[in-house]
Order: sequence, then structure tokens, then C-alpha cells
Amino acid sequence: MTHLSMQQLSESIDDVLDWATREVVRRHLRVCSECAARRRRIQHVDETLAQILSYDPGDAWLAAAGAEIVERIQSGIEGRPLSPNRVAGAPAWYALPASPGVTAFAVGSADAAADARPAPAPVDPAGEVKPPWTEPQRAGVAMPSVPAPVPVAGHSSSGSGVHAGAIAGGLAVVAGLAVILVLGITRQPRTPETLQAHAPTVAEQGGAPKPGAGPGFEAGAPESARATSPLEDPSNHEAHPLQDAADRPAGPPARTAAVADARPRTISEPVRASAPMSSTGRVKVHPAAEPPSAPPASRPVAAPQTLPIARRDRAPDTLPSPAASSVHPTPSAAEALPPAGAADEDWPLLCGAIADPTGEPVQGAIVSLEGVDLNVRTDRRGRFCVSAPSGARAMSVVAQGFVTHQATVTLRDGADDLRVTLSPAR
Amino acid sequence: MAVDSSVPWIEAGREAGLLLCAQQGDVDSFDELMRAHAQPFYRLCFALACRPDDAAEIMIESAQHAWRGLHQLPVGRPFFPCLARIARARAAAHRRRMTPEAREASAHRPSGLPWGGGASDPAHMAEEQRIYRIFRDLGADDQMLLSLRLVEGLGYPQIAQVMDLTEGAVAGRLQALRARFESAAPAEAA
Repeated sequence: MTHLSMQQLSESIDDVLDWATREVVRRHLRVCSECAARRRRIQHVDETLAQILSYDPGDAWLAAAGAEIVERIQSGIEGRPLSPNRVAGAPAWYALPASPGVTAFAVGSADAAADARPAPAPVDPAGEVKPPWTEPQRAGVAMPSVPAPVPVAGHSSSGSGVHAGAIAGGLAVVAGLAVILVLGITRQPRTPETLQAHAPTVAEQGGAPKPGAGPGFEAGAPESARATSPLEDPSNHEAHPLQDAADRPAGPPARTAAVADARPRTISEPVRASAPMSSTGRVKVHPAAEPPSAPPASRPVAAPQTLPIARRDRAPDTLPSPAASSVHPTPSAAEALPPAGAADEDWPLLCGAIADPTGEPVQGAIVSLEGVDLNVRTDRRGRFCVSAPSGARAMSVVAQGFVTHQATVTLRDGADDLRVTLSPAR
Repeated sequence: MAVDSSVPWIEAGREAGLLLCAQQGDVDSFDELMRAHAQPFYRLCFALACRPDDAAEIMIESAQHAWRGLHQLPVGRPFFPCLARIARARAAAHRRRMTPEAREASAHRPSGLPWGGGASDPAHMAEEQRIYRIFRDLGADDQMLLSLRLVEGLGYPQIAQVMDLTEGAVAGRLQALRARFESAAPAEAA
């Protein structure tokens, strides 16, 4: 008797065999005890592995970890271990004893963190325990045996490394300020007039493949207003470390695709990086003078946000009638949204659904907007969302087996929910 | 195959909208994305790291890395595969830094439970430890594959999407891994 192969057994366990092969395997397993036992062993290994690897840290831990991630992103801290304060309600594994030979991990549990407070104080040969700090550092006074430092450049107070370090540090600070000053002079002053003059050119530099193609571009912008220096290029983060730190403290690098940069953007405008999402789902762009975002401590950890994207996703089954072949907004969705004006500088979000004449959603249809180098695909419910500058734009919907649908849509605040019915190709 | 190829933890349209907002710098949208994927992502990190504390480190570092590289992710592509690949790379790097002693199996499962699920059957405990040792010595790709299949219960198309493989490659790797576990079984069990 020919036994089953590992391929047949494995795919039989995963239930991915076609009907004919499944029948062959089933009948063979009925008569061959050896293959049946082998299959059971494989399944046993699978189940054991699933048991070993299944572990749920708990919603509280995950919420704390999510808050920690956001905090790190907003503060720009890299590689900092998870704060023990964040895991006050740590799950049981935090309190597990460390395995032999395993170095303690900084995350640790709250208890472990409490145990690992200051390192043991050094003991001098005489047996006296020394504090981990020196007396002058603690009291903030100079040691009597050390002469007072002379704060003059070029003069080193011999025998006092602390004072020499302080002078060197001061020089470094002065040098840093000088660099910032030079960069500040090199860059254009951030007056509203200057920013207005730069707005279209920066958008063009952002990588829009068709300059002037969209309504947000001004093809005839004066050459003098164009940002020609690498330092003027907001997408050139390598040349702009200070601008990175100043303008984009928490956000990802600005996209070079048209999604982020086709929009006319002023240099000093926060790149929506630290802008929080309002309860309506719109990104609030803070004025330059305001702090970029609320401090992380005031951030509600477990409060889930309800985005209008989810609201627009409601009623998935109410696709248009087969007769409708045009783009038309849903009045209820438009009325449900708050009045425009709260976030005038934001791109409106355009969402909709694509269906075939029978009302079935069309998955994988490509929706593109004129002037925006961005195509989105519909999901399995035929839905899509795209964000673009306000105004009327030609929209095209391309799907395999259907006639390309073209219509003009108006992007504006209080986004409309589009319903598009495609006609089948002949 | 009746399994849908989309990754099931978040609705695709909602994910696309959140991803778009996150790519434009909205931290809250990214937070929402991460929360939607937090449980499966942690479980994946746990399988890759084999230790809860290392899994936490890999998870948070991967999330930061994903945030920095979010602009490179095409709109419309699912987020979880990107996250999973970052975690795989991080786990591989983390493993290289681990000392051999740290990789030794302890008296507990990675989850902190005793071997054998608390049962007093020494054969069962030994069997669990044997399986776990084989799993621990696998490469990050294979660990990820087994985790997605056995823990998350994903189908071949979904695993192929997450790991950027073909479905045939997924099936072949699973067979090879099962054969490896089988060949390492003690003689009496075989």
C-alpha cells in the first residue's frame, strides 16, 4: 500500500485539498492506521505549538503599550525602555522570575522596577559606604580644596575636570546657537508674506509629477520664488536636521508622492504631523505659535476614537440601484457632518462605494482623481476613501470587466458619500 | 480555497482611511491602526521572540519603525504585512544579540505557565519542551509562518500576503516544517 505523502497530510490538516484529493485521502486514512496515526501526531504537534505560543497579555497591557508607542512617537524618543509607570497594572508575566542566565530586561514589572532602584552604593576599602554622588554635586557648592573656576575661554582650571567640561559645554552651546542662527538667516523669514510666496513652489518641489496639473498649483509662479536651495526643500530631511526637529517633531517623513506634497504647503506649516484627529475625524492643524500637540500625559489611553470613516462605512448593503450610473452624494451623510470652517486647511475626505449593475460591490476597482497622483483600490465591499485638495475634480473609476466610469466630483468639507454603479464592458 | 485573502483584523476600507491619515502625519490614526492590530501583532512578536519581555520590546520598536517608514507604504496595501515584516527583521536582529544562555528553555513556558499546562505527566512536559526547542531553533521566517498558521489560524493566501510569498511556497514550507517536527520526534513516539 502506498502511504500518504507529507504534502497530502499537511494539506489535509489545513483543509486546503481539492475535492478529489480530499476524498482519496479520507478513504486512505480509513484503512491505513499508520497514516492515520501519523496525521494525529502532526496534529498533536500543531496543537501543542499553538498552546505554547498562545499568550494574551491583556487589554490593559496592550492599551499601555499603545500609549507608550504614541508617547515615543510624539516625543521622538528612540530605544527608551517601556516605562514601568506605564505598566502599573502589569500582567502576571511581569512578575515572573528571570530565567537563569537571562539578563534582566528593562521593561520589567513594576515590582522589578521598584527592586532595581539605585545601584548599590560603592564601598571603599575602609568599609565605608559612599553615596553614589559626590558632595559638591549634591550640595551644589564647590569643594574647598578646588579653586574657584575662571570662566574665561582659553584658561583651563587645572585639576578640575568638571570646570573644564563646563567650559567646553558652554562653547558647544554657543556653537550650536551660531549654527541655528546661520541656518535661520539662510532660510527665509517665516512671515506670512514669505510663506505665501513659497506655497506653490514648495508644492511643486514635493514631487508632483505634473506641475501645474491640479487646481492647487500655479504653473506661472515666479522663478525667484522657487525654493532652489536644498535647505529650502521640505522633503530634503537630510539637509534639514534642524527643520526636521522643529517642523516635524512627531510625524513620519513627508511623503514625496503627491498625497502629501501635491498640496500647496508652506514651509513652516506643521505637516499635519502633530495635528490631532478631532472627533469628526478631521485633522486639526495648529497655528505655528501653538504647541504641536497636547502633552502625552493628558492623552486618554483607552478612549477609542470614533472616526467618520467608520461612520461613512455604515450601511454597507445599501448600494445604489442598478439604474443609477452617476455619482451622487448621499444627503444624509452630508448633513450629518459638522459645518465646514473648523479645519479649513485640511483636505476633505472623499469616500464612496462602487457597485456593478446588480448592486454587488466591485472589489479592486481603481479610483483616481485628476490632478492628484494617487489611485486607490476599493475593498471587498467596494468602498474607497481618498483625500485631496478641495474643489471640483474629474474622477475616474477603472475596473476589469466594466466600462471606465468618469464623473466630476466636488471635494469639500462635509464630505459626500459617493455611490457609483459601473456598466459592464461589452 | 474558501479563505479570503484579506487580513481579517480590520476592515479594509477603514484601514485605508486610517492609513491615509497616518501617512499625512496623524498620530491618532496610527494609534488606531496599531490598536486594531495590537493583539495579533503582539502574539506574532511573542512567537518570534519566545519571551514576553522581548516581545514587548520588539513590538514597540517595530511600531516606531513602522511610523517612520509609513510614507513608503502604498495606499491600499494592508498594514499588517508591513508591520509583521518589520517585526521579523527586528526579531532576527534581537536574536543575534541574545546570549546562548538566554535562549535556553527555562522551567516555564514562554508565557510563564509551567510545562505541560500544569499537568504532572512528565512525558507530556518533555514532549512540550522538545517541540518548543525545535520551534525556538527555527529561523524567524519559519517561526512567523507557524505562528500565523497555528496561532492566528490564517489561510494560505493570507499567510502568503503577510509574508510576501506564493501560496505554493507557504504550503511547501509548512510541509517541510511539519516533517522537521516529525523527524525530531523520539523513536517511541514515531
